Amino acid sequence: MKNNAQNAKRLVIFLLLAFGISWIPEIILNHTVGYHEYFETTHYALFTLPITYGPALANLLTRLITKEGFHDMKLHLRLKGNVKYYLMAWLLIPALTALGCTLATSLYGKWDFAALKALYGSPKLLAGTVLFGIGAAPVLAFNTFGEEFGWRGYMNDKMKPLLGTTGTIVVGGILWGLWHAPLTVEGHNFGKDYPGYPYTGFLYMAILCTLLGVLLMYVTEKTGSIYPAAIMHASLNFGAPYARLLLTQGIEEQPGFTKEQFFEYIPIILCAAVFTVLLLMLMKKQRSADAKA
Amino acid sequence: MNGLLYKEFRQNRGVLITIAAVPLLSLILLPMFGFIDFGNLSAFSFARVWTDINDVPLLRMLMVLLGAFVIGFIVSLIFNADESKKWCYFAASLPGSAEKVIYTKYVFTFMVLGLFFLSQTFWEMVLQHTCYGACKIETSSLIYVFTVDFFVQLLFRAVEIPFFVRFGVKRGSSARLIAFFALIFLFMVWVLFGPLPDSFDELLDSLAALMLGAAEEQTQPNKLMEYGYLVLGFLPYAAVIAYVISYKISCKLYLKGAEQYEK
Repeated sequence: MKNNAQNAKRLVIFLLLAFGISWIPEIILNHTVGYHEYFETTHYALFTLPITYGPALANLLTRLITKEGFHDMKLHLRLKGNVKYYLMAWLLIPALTALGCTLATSLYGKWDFAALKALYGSPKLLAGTVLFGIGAAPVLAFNTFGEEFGWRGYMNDKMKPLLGTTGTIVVGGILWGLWHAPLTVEGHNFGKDYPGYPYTGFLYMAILCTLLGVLLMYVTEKTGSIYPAAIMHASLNFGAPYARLLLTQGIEEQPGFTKEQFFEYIPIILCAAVFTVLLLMLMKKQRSADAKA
Repeated sequence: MNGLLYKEFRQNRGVLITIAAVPLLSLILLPMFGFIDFGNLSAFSFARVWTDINDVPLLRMLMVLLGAFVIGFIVSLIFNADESKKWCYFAASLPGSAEKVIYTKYVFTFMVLGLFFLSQTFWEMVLQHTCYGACKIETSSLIYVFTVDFFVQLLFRAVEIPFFVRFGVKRGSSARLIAFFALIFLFMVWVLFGPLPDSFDELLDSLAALMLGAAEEQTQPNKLMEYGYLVLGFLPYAAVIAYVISYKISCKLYLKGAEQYEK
């Protein structure tokens, strides 16, 4: 009981810090230099990167404030026996995106590579760009490390004893989605011109984050390290768009969350469902092992 | 493992500081000094210097290359530090055997390359922000060049580390150089006498065009560019696989190499 109260206290402090550290500068920058200037150009990257490190900073500060200490931070690589999870983190999301885009194009688009060929000039050039984009994504994991160190590295651990695995997946996903709100308001991911703007945008983001959160939580739990989650997140942000570039043909980009996009996400939804079951089994196994010990 | 990694950090503090500082020198200070007119210092303007630097992307690329060369040398120091028979035999007696020691070296080398990449990215962000602050120009991002550089470095280290482990850093560098020239010789023999694919002439024409500067005027990508991009596409996968294979080879060579160390 005492442990639960302590976890709840730490969780609340962490969330206040994570949201505060990121939201305050985001809101200020949205109103001063504007979203496009600080988030989509290169000259404000020096300020944008620390904002994404808000959850990481919150992790460290909460440990310091609550005198929890800096143990079990999941900062070890734990490569031994986990190489398959690192590979999964690298390639799973681009593969699922490729499957989803193939499905969406087959249903709503048309297979016509003429536009892409015109853009890139040659198939070899296009293949090289796509392969490199997907392959190099893990190197850009320094961009996503900050979020994973906070959400998967701290929040999930504090939430699990309070809400259980399913509760952590759902509530954690919603909170993570909500954390993006100052960006969603400015048109990040979905634009601004969609029904119910910006509230439906928050909802889409919460659903997406819940789905992706399952995959990220699974690799973290399996390896006991946050690096696979950071790599997977980087693959989602920087690798998957290359799969989309290649395989989304004849589908116009529209603001909001369209039915075409829904079909693109079907493989991720199915994978998230499978991983939820696997996570529940893993947690049950861990609990019974703890009980025996 | 933790202890060995801690040892590497303690032993290579200088290396880490240098790695973090090299991009500041290569990406910002050296090009900046190149553009300052020392004969007329009163006319010095930061805005002018940054604009000049931004106008010469090739110079910035060359500076990335310069940084890469420095890193190649620095990484050899990581292996040089532990090049003694006594240490190797002691390492082999540790729990987990010599494999743990080699594993730590590979992880540390990977960390050093990662730190170099991060340092490059950070100093470029500083440059971009300063350029924008000084003269409102948006500097082109070199982050993909840094990424390519990271994987090329990884591939090079994957090739040279087994040589260092087997022959020591000094003799290993010579052995690597001999192997490199042998490969070039074989390539030349193949180019002169071997069966060449039909597209090879076209490739050479593209290379000649590029060297003569004609490539800049071409609107369509030439053969060299096409193959270059394709090779680039496979680079991350090849580099990672080569690094893993290199580790396996080094584990096998470690004790054989120890017998030949001078100290």
